[in-house]
Amino acid sequence: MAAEASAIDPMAQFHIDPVIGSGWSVFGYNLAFTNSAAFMVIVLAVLWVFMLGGMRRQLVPGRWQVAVESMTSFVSNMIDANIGPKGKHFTPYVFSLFMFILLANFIGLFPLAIIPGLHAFTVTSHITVTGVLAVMSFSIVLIVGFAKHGLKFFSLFAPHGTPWYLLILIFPIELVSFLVRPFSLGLRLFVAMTAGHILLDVFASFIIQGLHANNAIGPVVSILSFAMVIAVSALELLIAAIQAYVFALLTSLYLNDAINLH
Amino acid sequence: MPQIDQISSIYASQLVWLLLVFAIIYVVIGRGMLPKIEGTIHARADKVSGDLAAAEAARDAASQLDRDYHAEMDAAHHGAAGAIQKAKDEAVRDTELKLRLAHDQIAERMHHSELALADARAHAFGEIENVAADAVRDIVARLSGADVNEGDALVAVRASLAA
Repeated sequence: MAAEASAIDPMAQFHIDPVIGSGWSVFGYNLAFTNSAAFMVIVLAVLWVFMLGGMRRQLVPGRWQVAVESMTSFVSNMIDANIGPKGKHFTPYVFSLFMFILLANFIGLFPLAIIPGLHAFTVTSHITVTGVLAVMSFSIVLIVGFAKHGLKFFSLFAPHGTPWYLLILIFPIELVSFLVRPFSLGLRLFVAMTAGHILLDVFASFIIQGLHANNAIGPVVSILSFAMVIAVSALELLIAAIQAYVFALLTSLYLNDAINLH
Repeated sequence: MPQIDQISSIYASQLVWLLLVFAIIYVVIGRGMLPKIEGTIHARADKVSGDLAAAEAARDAASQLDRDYHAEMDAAHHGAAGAIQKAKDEAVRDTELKLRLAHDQIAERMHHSELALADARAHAFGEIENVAADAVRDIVARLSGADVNEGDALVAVRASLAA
């Protein structure tokens, strides 16, 4: 049993291996096309095919077109509610972000492992991906904020009507909470995806171990674990959507700070 | 945790492929496809609100037409009622006039007839008196042989007739 436990490593699913071009190198940086990159391209392809269904542009839409339009309206309504009409320019960015994260989360849950030799890879379970997305959103907030308001952007850290003696405390607190944003934004998605996938893998390994255990309690553990896998899969589907929504929502809220500044 | 253990060997690949894929998504899908889909949604919303406005205008026009129709019908009814009343009044007045004329004519003819009747009666009475006077003179002459003159006989006859 000890041998089987070590054979199933719940962390193996996050391992990145080159698919092709393991030696591709530019200026000394290894740019191999990895399984992670492959799933990014799969996300891109799926998203493109999905969006094609919305390009029929019929006055009375079919099911697919309605699905695409409901996604675009969802994001544009979110932008409209959180930023207002000035946020229109950022709809393409937030939409791209939302759809990329949503599809990466969903495709990562796709049961591809039933085909031997393959397993789904969750792009968003890597801090190197979520961190880049978070820094990208944070950079846009900084660029827009300073471009629109100049040094007045620092007044974001001094809420209206704060007495000067409190400002001494509040300004650093607000500044720190602002600077923590990219980390919280990137870590939240990374941790949620990683934790969910580890949980799924651990319960799945319990099923196998229960079947291999030559005692009476083994099958019971397997059945209970299987029920858990079903429940956690349903929860993960929910979390996949929620995390994409949270990432897009927080990005639009931070953009609102930069655009409207109180 | 491979995400952290592998970070030094994979970060460049992850960054480059992510930026490449995300740039394609942003340019092709976010900038290329999204505005067209939003345009379709706006066009549909405009069409729906335009159709609603047109329907409302058509309904207003229809109700205006209905009001006009009723007003015209009312006016026509009023006109017709007036014409009928006028015709009735005229007929009544005409009838009254004719009746009065006829009545007058009849009254006049009756008056004439009455006059003629009275005349004829007076004449008849005169005749009767004369005849009676003649008869009295005859009877007196036969009975007594006295000759009564015409005037006395007439006076006596009138007196006895009046009694």
